[in-house]
Amino acid sequence: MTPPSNTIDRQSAQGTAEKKKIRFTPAMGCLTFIIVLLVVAIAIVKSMPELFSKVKKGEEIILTATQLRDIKSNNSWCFYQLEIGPERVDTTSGLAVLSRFYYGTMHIGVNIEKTPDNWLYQKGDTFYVKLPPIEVIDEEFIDESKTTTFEDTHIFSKWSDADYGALLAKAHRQMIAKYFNSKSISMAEHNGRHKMTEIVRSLRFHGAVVVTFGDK
Amino acid sequence: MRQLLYILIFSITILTSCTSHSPEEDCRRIITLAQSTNKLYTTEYSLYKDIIFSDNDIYTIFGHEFNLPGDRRIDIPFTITAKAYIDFSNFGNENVRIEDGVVTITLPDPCIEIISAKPDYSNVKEDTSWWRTKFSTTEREKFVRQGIAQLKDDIYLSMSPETMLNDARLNAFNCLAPLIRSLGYGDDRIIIRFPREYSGESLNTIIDKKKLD
Repeated sequence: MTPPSNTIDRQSAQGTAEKKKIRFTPAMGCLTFIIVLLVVAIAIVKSMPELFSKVKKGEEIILTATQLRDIKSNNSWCFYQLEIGPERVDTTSGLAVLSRFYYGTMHIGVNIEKTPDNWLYQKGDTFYVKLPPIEVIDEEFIDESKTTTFEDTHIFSKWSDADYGALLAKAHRQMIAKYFNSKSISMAEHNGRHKMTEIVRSLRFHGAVVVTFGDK
Repeated sequence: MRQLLYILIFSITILTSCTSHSPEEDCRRIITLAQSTNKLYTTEYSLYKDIIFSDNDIYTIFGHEFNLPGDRRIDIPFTITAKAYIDFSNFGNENVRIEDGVVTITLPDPCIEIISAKPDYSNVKEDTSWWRTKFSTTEREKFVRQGIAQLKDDIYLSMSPETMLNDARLNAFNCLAPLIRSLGYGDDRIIIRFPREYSGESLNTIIDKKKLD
């Protein structure tokens, strides 16, 4: 059995009145007051740093002794180098953005240890030099002492060391993808060919000199 | 309620986001300097150092100092890779002398160059009291710069220049000998040397200061 229509109207009117009461409770007023107070307090602290300042005292920096960890022979020939930077690299975490500038020097050349067995030979009046393919000869080439931060929008927490490490690895990949290209390879090959010919000539060889890279 | 939350977040963001960037940072230009080189790298060195930083914040409110309890510490290890090289850019006939079937090659001075410098991120240790803020990216940047600068200064002190010269000479020989041999000269007829004997002050010259900056 359906209730009379005037009963429904009374109930809905009561519901509306309750909703209105919820919007204006004293708790809401207090919350608004606290928020305004907080905003004003931050504004005062920001605008009058001489009254509210943070002094860094008891700072201590310890630099441990430098250790020579490893020495290894590294026979590689650099024919072309690129000083790169600032190279901007970004990462995001939710809404936060970290954007940094990286600097480095990329060395392009050949690793002499990768030369084939018969990489030098003379046939008639021609001397052949077969070098390995052109490559980026350093595994890492970024100088992090020059890295600067362009944008860091993380407010409530901070970036982790894994984030910084991942961004550095990304910068390395990005630089190789951008600068180790056919142009830089051809420049390195051209310079390498010229220098190798010059060295063979300085040893008083007067015939033709043929310098090749990889399987070319 | 939601509107109030938005106002709060907006206000705090506006008030806390007024960090100024220096004009130098804002006006950076993209520079890529490319140049042909002829460097024979001979030896690679890995150097390691830790920078440990700790601090205690003191807040001054209306001239009164309040020492907040708790501190924060960070330990950042660094690695630098440096390489010794011989610059062949000006190498020519004047560097090679052939007399009585003996080849004497006078190599240019060896140098040392920084190849890479970076924190060992997998071994960074940070210890911060829960009411203290963690180290910011800018703060870390400052420590990294300081640690690496110190490490660069220590390169000369950390390695023996005599050993470095001998390594450079030996590796240069290993690299050039096959070339000379293939032109008909035996190992006993190859002499590879540097233009002068290094001692004391002159050893400083083997470090490429320009590259260390």
